[in-house]
Amino acid sequence: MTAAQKNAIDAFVESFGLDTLIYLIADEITPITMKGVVRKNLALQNKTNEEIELFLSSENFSQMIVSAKARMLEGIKANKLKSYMQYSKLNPSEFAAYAEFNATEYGAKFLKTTINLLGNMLQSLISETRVRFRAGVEKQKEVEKS
Amino acid sequence: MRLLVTLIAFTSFLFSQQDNEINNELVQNLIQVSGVEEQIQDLPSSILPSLNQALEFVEAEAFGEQRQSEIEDSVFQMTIEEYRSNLSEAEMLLVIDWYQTPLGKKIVKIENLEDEM
Repeated sequence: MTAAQKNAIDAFVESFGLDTLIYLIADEITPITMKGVVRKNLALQNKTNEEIELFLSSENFSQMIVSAKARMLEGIKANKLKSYMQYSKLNPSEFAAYAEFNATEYGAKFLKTTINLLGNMLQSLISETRVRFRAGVEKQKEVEKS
Repeated sequence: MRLLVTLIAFTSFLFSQQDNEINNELVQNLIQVSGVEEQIQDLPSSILPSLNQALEFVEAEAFGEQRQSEIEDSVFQMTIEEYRSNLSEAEMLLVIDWYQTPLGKKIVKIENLEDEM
């Protein structure tokens, strides 16, 4: 693959908004999952809810999330690699024709709608997960109190 | 006069219903030929297991089969509405035409293959 082709794919993937979707997952899902894992582990170590909450609001835990997000962002690189493999199946003229389609008013609208749609779906699933997660945490606190 | 107004209202209602149906059919065609249908159908089943895993850690209520099925239905409806409100019929026809070209078909094929990778 030539450098020009690689640059074109880079710009293309960015225009797709795929990176934004992965960032969204990294930003929203990683903290939820991390909190779940840490809660479970600390509970297994017989830590009280107060101790668990203290840890979750600590700088130490914030750093754990930062590292986890960094690992997730590695996924973006892997995703781009997949895209290189995927779009390198197109010959240069096909690739140019696809880019041309995406640059038309109707092509761009279609692309933008598709990306927004996927983003909205993810946001909606994440919001519902957050509500369920909080309900689970509250229930655990009540059980511990009683 | 009253009858005339009622008739006009009824006729425009019929026409708007017809437009709506044509549009609905068009959107379904659009999401099918562009491969979007396949992609959105797979979204809940591919993401819910990891969300359920996070919920399991706090023993929270997981997304069950019934909820997943409701989500799949709403995702489909959301898709129809989203395209209908963002693209005109003429634009949908242009996109459909493009995806029916050999290159359009090739794109759908390789993009769906990537999802399976």
